[in-house]
Amino acid sequence: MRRSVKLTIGLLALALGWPVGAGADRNADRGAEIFSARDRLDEGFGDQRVSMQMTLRSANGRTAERRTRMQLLEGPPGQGDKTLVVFDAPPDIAGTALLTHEALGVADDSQWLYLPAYKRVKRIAARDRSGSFAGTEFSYEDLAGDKFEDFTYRFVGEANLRGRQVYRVDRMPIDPNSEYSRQETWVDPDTRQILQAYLYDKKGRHLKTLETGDWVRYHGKYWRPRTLAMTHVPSGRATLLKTSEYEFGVGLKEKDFSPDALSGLGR
Amino acid sequence: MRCPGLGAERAGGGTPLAAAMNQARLDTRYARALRLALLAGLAVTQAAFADWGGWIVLEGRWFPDKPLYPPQSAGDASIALRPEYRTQAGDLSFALVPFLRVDSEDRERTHADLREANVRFDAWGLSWLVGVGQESWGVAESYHPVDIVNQTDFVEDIATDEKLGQPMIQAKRLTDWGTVQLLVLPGFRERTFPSEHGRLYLPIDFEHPIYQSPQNERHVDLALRWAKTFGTWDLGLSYFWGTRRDPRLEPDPAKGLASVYYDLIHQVGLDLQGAVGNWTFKLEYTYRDTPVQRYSAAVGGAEYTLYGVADTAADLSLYAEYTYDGTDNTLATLYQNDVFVGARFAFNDLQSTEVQLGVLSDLEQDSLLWRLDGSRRLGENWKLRLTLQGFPRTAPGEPAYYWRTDGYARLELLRYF
Repeated sequence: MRRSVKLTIGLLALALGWPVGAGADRNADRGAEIFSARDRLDEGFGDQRVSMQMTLRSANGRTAERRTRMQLLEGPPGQGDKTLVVFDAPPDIAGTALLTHEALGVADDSQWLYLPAYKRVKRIAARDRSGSFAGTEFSYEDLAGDKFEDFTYRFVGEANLRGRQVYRVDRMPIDPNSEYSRQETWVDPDTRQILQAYLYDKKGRHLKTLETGDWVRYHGKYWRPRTLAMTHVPSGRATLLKTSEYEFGVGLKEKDFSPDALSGLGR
Repeated sequence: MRCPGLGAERAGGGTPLAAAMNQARLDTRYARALRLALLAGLAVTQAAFADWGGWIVLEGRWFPDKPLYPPQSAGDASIALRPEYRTQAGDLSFALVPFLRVDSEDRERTHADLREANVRFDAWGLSWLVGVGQESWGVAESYHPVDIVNQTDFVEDIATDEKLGQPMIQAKRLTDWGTVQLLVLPGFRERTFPSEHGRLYLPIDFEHPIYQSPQNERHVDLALRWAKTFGTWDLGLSYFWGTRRDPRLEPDPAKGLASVYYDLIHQVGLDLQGAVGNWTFKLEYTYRDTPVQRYSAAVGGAEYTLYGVADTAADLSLYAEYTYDGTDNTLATLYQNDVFVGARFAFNDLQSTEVQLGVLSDLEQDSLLWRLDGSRRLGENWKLRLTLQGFPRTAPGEPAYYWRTDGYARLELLRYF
């Protein structure tokens, strides 16, 4: 979907004689190439399932645990993925579920939240999704997935990160309602995966830092991180997410990702 | 009026637990359903996933105003237990969720129920649920006219969110043109009501319900629902034919109590929710064809959430809804022509602290009720919940009129497993 929008803009620019691909746009192309390669390398896994253990740390150093299961159904080419996150612990919020049907580019994703205490599947407002998911530093937007089509890119250069030479790419969300204005990313040149990202809010303030680690390659091509750390920079709060082994090709179906399927996922 | 002397009878009637067992309305059909479900459970003991869970709660309620009825007390204490067993192997899953409450004052509030005892499996291209289940319909905050599958466990809370288990055979199919769901509901569950010894009492003769169906509570009800998502909108259409869940309450001067009628009705329902910008919109509409009246009941409104209030992690959700219930039977509804406004403040802290306030105000009569809920997790497995409910203004003829001195504070301490 986003590809055709981009193509239209490109054709329009050509017709108007704008300098497409010249000078400054070389860095845009290089940045885009790095991320399109990431998505291309990751195509074809079908579905995946993983358990996640999250440790929440407050500004004053207190901690609490959350345990979740996540399952994902890969969308057909040109369409977004479907993701379901279900809480297993703490027990009072067990069964709380977040379902996302990702839409690429500017179109609004669909998100539903199931709260066992209310026994209702609630639509989440499509626009501002900067709210915390269950007290974690991950927002609804952070959990909705990041596809190539959701950003424009700028290659900044190469940088050294934890003793490695990596790509520095800035990416800007296409969606004007994103909680972020810009994301500075540090990208592994081999896997094209994000090793670190600084996320800037609409006021240009460094809001969050994401760090990924313990990358594992499954089935010879699908790279997945076993740790993700999201830090809220102004307050110092953080959520450390550790995953189990990922399972692929587990036979998930469309009906497992229907809003009607959200109730009764409790322990 | 029923005799206040009943309290003495209860006092001599053995332990509260024995009373609970007597009150437990696990009739033979229930026992059979339970046995079937247990057998199915045994069949999947080699399960890929099995888990015990649930909770136990200690609850105290305090009613500061003098009661309207002499047998009532200024407070009560109760304990409730809801264990939960779920197991799954492939497409086959099994759930068992019994419930028991023992109350210090009200023998009707002391009750047991099977919230769930069911098997789910896939067969013939359909997803099945057989046994006792819970099925919630509806999208609004204040009122759920479309929600008709499960009976309300009214002694638990007048907020009608707690439901009794409903015996059912459910078949569901996901197609390109939406999700279709058919429910066959054998066995009607009576709504639970507090006795005269309990607060939030209604002067109705719930012990002698009058059924329209000659099969009484054995009438087999049917329900059908179709649901589909259109972009950021979810639409559901439903139909129900069977014994109404919310009884008609007709005053009977001879008895001094209102009679409780469970009519056979047809209900068509529509539910719609959608996300537009920062708003979500909700609508529930029903049309009911009952033997005494044809009428509509509906609720519609919007929700707006402010994220990261004052640069903290907290969220504030604001609600406004209009509720309408066209029934002539005013004793049976709180939602005739009312406006509901509410706010929910989620701190998004480690302990998931939340505060919620709701106000329901009648546009015709001078009637207003409000409720404040707060909850906070203690450590990993405990939770403290506080509810304040007030009936500052009530009008004769509506149910809240009988609760005008029943404003209360409720404190609950829950332990989860």
